[in-house]
Amino acid sequence: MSPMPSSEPMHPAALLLPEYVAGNLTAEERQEVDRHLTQCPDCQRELEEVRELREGVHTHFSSLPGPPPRVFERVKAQIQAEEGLVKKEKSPPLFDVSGWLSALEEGFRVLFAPRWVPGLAVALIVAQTTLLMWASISPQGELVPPVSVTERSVPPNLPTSSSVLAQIAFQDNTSEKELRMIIRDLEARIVNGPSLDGIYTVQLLEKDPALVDQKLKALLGKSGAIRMAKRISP
Amino acid sequence: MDSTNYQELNDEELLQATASGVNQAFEVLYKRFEGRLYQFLRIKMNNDTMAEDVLVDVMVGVWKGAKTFHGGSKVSTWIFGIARHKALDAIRAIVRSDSTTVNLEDSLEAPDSSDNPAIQAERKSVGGLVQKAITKLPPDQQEVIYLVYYEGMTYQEIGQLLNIPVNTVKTRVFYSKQKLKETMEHLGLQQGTF
Repeated sequence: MSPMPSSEPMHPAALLLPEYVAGNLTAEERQEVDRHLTQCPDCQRELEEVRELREGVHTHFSSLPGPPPRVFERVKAQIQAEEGLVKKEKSPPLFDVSGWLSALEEGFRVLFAPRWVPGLAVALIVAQTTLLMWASISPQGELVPPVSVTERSVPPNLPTSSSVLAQIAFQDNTSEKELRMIIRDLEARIVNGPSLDGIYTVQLLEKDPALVDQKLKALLGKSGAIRMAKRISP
Repeated sequence: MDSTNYQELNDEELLQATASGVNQAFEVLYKRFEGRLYQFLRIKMNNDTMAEDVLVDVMVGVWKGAKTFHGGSKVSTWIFGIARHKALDAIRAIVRSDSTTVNLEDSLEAPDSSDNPAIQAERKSVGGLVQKAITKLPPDQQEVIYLVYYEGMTYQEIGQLLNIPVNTVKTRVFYSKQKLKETMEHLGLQQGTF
C-alpha cells in the first residue's frame, strides 16, 4: 500500500467531502458536514479542491474514446465458442451405444431414486388388480367367465329365442322413408332382408305374440305400403 | 416476439435477463459498462490492447457468472470486482518490459471539440494533467481516484470491491487526492487553479 504523507490535522468532515460532493451522504451526515463547513475555512478550501478534481476527472475520462466495436464481437464469439464446447461435452456421440446406455441407466436411477417410488409401484399394481377383478364380476356377484373366441366372434345383434319375429313385404312403390317409419312405428328392427322377393324379417320389441299379431293386422289394414305382414316366431 | 425495452431496465434486471440467456439484455448491459470498464482497465493495465483483452474476459465472465449474482452488492460493484480480478490475473501473467507497454500519456489524448482556443488550451492543460498526474500515483491510489471521482462509487461499495474497511477507503481517498494535487502542481498547473 502507498505510504501516507506525514499527517496534518485531518477533520473527519474532510474525509467525507468526496461523498458529500457526489451526493452519497445520508441527510444526517450531510447536515453534520454543512455545520462543519460553516466554521472551517480549511475544509471549505478542501471542498473546492474536491469539486475541481471531480470535474477534471469527469471531463477527462468522459472525453476518452470507448473500446472499439470489435471488442463486443470478440465477446460474442468467445461466448458462442464456449457454449458450443459445453453442448458438445453434455451430449454423447450419436453412435456411442455405451454412452446412450449409460445415459439411460442414469435416467432410470434418477427416476427410482426417491424412497417412495417402490411403494407407489406396489400400490398401483394392487389397484389395477382390484379394478380388473371388480370389472370381471357380474351384477349378480358372480364371476363372469371369459367369453370364448367362438362366442366373441358371433355378432351380438342376432335375435334370441325369446324374440318375436315377423316378415313384412312392402309394395314396390314404398319409399325408403315410408319403410323406415313403418318399422319405427312397429318398434321393430330389420334383422334380415330384403330377400329376392322383397321380404324383410323384423324383430319386434313386443314380446307377446298375440299383441304382435294385433299390430301386424292393424298395419295391414291402414297402410297401403305393405302387401304382406305375418308373425313367424314364436 | 419480445417487446421488452431493455434500455429501460436497471442493471439488476438486465443481469437477471442475461442469466436467463437473453442476448439483447446482455448487449445493453455491455453497452452500459463498456466505456467505464475500459477506462478502469486502461488505468490498471497501462496498455490499450491489454485493456481490450481483459475487457473481453470480463464481459464473458459476466455472461457466465450472471446466474451466480445474488444481490449482495450493486451490479456495478460486482462487475468492477470481476474487472479488477481479471486485471490482476493478467498483470501477474505477463512479463512487463519497456517494449510491451504503450505510453499512456500519448494514448489517452483527449479529443477536442471546442472552438475556443483558450478553452482548448485549458482542457488540454487540466484534462491532460489530470491523467498524467493519475498515472504517476501508485496503483491503489489511482484506483480509488477513478472509482470515487469518475464512477461515483460510495466508500462502502469501494470497500466491498477492494475488500478493505470503509475507514481505510476514506483515508486512502483523502491522501490520493492530496497526492494528485501535489503531482499536478509539480507538473506545472497554474497555482490556484487546483
